[in-house]
Amino acid sequence: MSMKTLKYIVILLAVICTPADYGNTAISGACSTCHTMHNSQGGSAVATYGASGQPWKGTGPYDALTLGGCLGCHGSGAASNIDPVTGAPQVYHSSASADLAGGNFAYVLGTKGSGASDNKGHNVIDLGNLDNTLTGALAGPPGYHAPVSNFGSTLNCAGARGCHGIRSSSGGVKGAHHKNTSGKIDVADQTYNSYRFLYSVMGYENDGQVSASTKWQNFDASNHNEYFGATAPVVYNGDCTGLCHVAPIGSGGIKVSNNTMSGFCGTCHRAFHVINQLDNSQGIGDDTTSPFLRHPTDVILPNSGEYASYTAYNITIPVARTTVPSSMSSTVTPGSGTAVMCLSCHAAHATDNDDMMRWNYRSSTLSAAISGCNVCHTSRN
Amino acid sequence: MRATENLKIKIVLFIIIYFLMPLGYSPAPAEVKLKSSVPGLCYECHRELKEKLSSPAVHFLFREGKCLTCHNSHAGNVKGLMDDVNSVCIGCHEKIRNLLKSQSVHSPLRDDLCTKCHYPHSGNYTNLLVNAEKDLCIGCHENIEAQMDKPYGCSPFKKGQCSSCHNSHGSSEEFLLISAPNKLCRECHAPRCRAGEVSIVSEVAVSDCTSCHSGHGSQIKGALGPYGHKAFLDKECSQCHNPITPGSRITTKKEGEGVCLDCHKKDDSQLKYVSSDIHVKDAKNSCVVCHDSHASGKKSFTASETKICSGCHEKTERNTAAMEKALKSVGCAPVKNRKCFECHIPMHSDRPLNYRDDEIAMCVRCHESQHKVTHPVGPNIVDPRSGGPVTCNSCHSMHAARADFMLTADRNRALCIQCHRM
Amino acid sequence: MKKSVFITGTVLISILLICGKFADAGTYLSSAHGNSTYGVKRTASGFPDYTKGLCAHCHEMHASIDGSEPLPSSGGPSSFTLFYSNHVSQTDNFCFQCHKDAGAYQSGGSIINRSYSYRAGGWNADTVNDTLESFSFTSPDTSHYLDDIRTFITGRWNYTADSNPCNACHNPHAAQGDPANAPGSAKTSGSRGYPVSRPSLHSSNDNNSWGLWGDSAGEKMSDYTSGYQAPYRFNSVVTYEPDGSTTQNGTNLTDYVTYCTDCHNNTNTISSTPLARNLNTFSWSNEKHGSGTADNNTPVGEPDTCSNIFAPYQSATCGTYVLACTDCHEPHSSPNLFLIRREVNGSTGSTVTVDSGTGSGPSGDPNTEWINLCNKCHDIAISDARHDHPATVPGGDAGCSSTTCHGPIGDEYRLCTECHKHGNNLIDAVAYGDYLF
Repeated sequence: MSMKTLKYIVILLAVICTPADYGNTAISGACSTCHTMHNSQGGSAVATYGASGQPWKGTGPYDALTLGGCLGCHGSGAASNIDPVTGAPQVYHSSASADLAGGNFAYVLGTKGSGASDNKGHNVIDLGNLDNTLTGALAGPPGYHAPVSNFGSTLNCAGARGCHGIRSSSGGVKGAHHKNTSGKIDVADQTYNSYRFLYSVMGYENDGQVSASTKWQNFDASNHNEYFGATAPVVYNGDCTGLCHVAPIGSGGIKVSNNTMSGFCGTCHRAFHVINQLDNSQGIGDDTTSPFLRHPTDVILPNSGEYASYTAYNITIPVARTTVPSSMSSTVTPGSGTAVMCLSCHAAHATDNDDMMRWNYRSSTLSAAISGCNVCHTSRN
Repeated sequence: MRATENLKIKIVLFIIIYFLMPLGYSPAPAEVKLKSSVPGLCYECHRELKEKLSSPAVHFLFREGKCLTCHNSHAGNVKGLMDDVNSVCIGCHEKIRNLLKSQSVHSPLRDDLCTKCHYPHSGNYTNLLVNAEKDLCIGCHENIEAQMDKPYGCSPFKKGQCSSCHNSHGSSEEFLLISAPNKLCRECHAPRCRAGEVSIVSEVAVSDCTSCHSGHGSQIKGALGPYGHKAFLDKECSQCHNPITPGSRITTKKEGEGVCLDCHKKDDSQLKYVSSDIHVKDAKNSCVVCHDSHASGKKSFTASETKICSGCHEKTERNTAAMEKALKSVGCAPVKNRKCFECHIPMHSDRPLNYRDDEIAMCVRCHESQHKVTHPVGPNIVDPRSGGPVTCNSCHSMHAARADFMLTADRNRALCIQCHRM
Repeated sequence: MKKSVFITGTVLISILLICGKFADAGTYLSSAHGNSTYGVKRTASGFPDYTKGLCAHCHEMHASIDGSEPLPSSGGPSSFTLFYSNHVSQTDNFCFQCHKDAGAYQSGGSIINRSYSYRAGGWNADTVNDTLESFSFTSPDTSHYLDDIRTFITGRWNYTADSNPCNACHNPHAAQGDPANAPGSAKTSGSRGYPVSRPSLHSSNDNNSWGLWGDSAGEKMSDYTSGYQAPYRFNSVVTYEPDGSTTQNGTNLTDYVTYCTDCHNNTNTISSTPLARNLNTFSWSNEKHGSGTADNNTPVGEPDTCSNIFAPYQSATCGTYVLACTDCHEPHSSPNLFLIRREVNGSTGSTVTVDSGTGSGPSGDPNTEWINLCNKCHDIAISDARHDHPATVPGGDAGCSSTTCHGPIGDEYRLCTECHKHGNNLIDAVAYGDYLF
């Protein structure tokens, strides 16, 4: 065998053996890492941590016989944004490592950042910290649509009154971890093939192609999630059916008709998102042109004026793509395929800033306070 | 040519040296110079141990200052700088090591540490027991204590001399008896058994004394019982037996189980009687296959399962023994204690394996908390492997488990993926 | 050694200066609204203590703050995510929620804005002190009429029917205080700001493209080659508008001619609701007060209105001056007709009163009050106003006897403005041949 032949064989083997199936990131490993059949582990009570019941200290049992609630795995107390034992992404961690794309619930409890505040994140019940504002006289999330009884006083990570999975007590993310697909998410007809298990949402998940250690992060301009947006928000005509609630109300399914990230946010915060041609009590206005009553989402970033200058992707102010991309891109193309979205300004989980803002809108330094605005409003600096 | 020859020699030498050197070469041990000698050196820190040398009972190795026989000087796997406590003990105590192979092994020895009953260095009691023999045993066998106050009973028992009859480590006999009851009792008691005025010594010559007498204490003269047929305890033999006459065989009034069923009518609401059960279909009296007819240590009059079950179910016993050996622990008490009747009641159940109850409910009797939170089980949950319902036994095996928690396979993954194939 | 230290120091200082230049705040942060010290700062129940200048003081991204509606409760949701309706009427406008002297949402409860006569003219006797008050003037007083402005700009220069008429002249994200942060003072050369943006540059939603007008070269009155002469400050003959300095050539004055003629020119039709007619069109390029050549069209023997001119205007250069609109007009409002300033060219002697058009002039003669204005620069007495008319004027040289020019009642004069007005080169449909103004 000549050296040349040997070289070809080596190259061929390398190609064959290179793991290329980034699209399938279904969970693997020991079942007992996540599940316990009798609400005990090794004969002992399921591991809990956190003082005063925070971030979580449940007694179980948990859905799907897991060791803990969502934070049981995704807020395991690991000193990193990825649990070195289980490999689970940590949406709650107090370490100095970077926050994942959705943010970090630790800011709500003040175990990371500048101090505890209900305002800093979605106060999911797993945190053991009810939102003092939203459980008060106001009740219901900001921008909610009546009746408020739809929302109750608690917010869950998944299932009923949750974001992930099927929004019902019997739904949640049941089984999704075992079938999870990653990378380009453009089917979204099941929880497992929806963007980050947000049922019916499309997008492109940062699946670690650039760097495994930056998986799940919006790391830099060329290494980040890609969010799915639209050229227009859904139109609210007084009837929820067919809008957010594609599945009949009460059947346990809340599905975003346009599959966008902002549309998904709008299923709770409807007043902040929809086009409303009935009145101005909700929505961004009656069409997608300025002036808007509320800051628009799922509206194309104009290729004119100051907006035309936003051309280099900025992970502080991410934008959505109106076509589900097949890869991550470091460029922004105003006027074509780029839309502003809720997550352009807010993080989904929590940040160290009030109102889950991606930057400190309440900074006492004005230039810092508007620094996020200036990414799109490039001449308002 | 000469050069080639030299090269060959060099290669051969190299190979020999290369392979043999690790086998034969070891550096001479360096002289370790201790600050002072053992045990003085040890006592410099472990001063309290030195005081224990004056105890009434002292382990000879301790007395002789051979600390390093049991302890490592630098590190160990367990507290006390030892590799393993029991291994250290039975390393010398060969008899006890052999007893570990017995049919019955005292659970503290089997599942716990020698030091549960013995002090390792010194103590106030013989055999370095941590307490007086009586108190030590009753410390665990609490139910026995009440029998000590009974008017009638075995003398050594009443004196708290448990080891007179029991081997506290292991035995081939039931209840860790030193020998078979028939033999053991006769060492002190010459048989004087009578039915009324008629001696029946010859009839019971080969009988187990404990089938009528308590080895411990009883309210009835002769230490009968403590549980027994009322007729027997009242000495109303004629209730079941034909008149007993000297020199004749003792017979029952009715053949087979009929003598029992005259009084113990079939009552399906409680325990049915399954006459076709394989265990009894060839028996003369199916009832006495399992039940003592005169007296018993148990209310249910059931005989010792180790006698009657394992005799036939050898494979099950072997599997169980192997399971016990393989697993860290066996959590199912009836299995561990060979209380077969806790779960299986031949003749009284037509369920599979003569289960006493529904398979799940049976486990729930003890494992209530595990049932409160559990993998879905029940008639509506189908086991894809068998097509039948998922029960506790779908994951757990009582006699042939291969993994912790008496599971049929490793709970980390192997077990789960038998059904959950992704 | 000392030389090297000097060079090194110079280099370092240069670098610092250059870097400092690069670190300059942008258009918004340099604006009055976006000033971190005195910028917009809303105070209202339920409104957070955001830092000064933050967007949220005007814009509520979700028509609410923290999930609820801060005061004014009737304010949302509003276009452009403003906390109050962008424009409702002449006295009900988003801007007036802060630009008023009492009950304002701006921290402190008021924003003082003075008239141009006060700020540039130095006439601190003017009691008008806030923008809402300015725009509240009604006939015979005058205000720039906001509804008409909105009607006019709609469809022009990227304005829409939703635009705030104030934005026709002001870019809220760029406008500077003038004087900056000194609402109770007249301008000084050290406190100058630039408050206006040209409406015609409002072509895109870009704060830089639609930046300030007057703050850069090419945007000054001094750019007119024919020459600009700044009027005196109030009661002074040594200081000049607009900042009270000795500068008088317009290098310190925004080119308000270019600015105002974006709208007020000879092509645009501007409907006036208060006047119930379209505004007169005019060409400042041709007007005598503009770039047109001023001449002396008075007959021999009559006072030469060009030569008899008050300082600082000089007879020698009388024909070449280009006046800035603001030399005579208030930008927002005035107690006078046509936004005529109360203080003009130092206003020595008296303030200008042209409030009814039928009032008395300096000599008590009715209908001659415009002399109050003209007389601030032109040395013409009321008697001089009875000037002979050129032959082309109907009535010929009949002078005051002609009822064409003079009222039917005795000696009552017809209004000067019937002839002397912007854009008038026609009288009674007969070409006059020249611009009267």
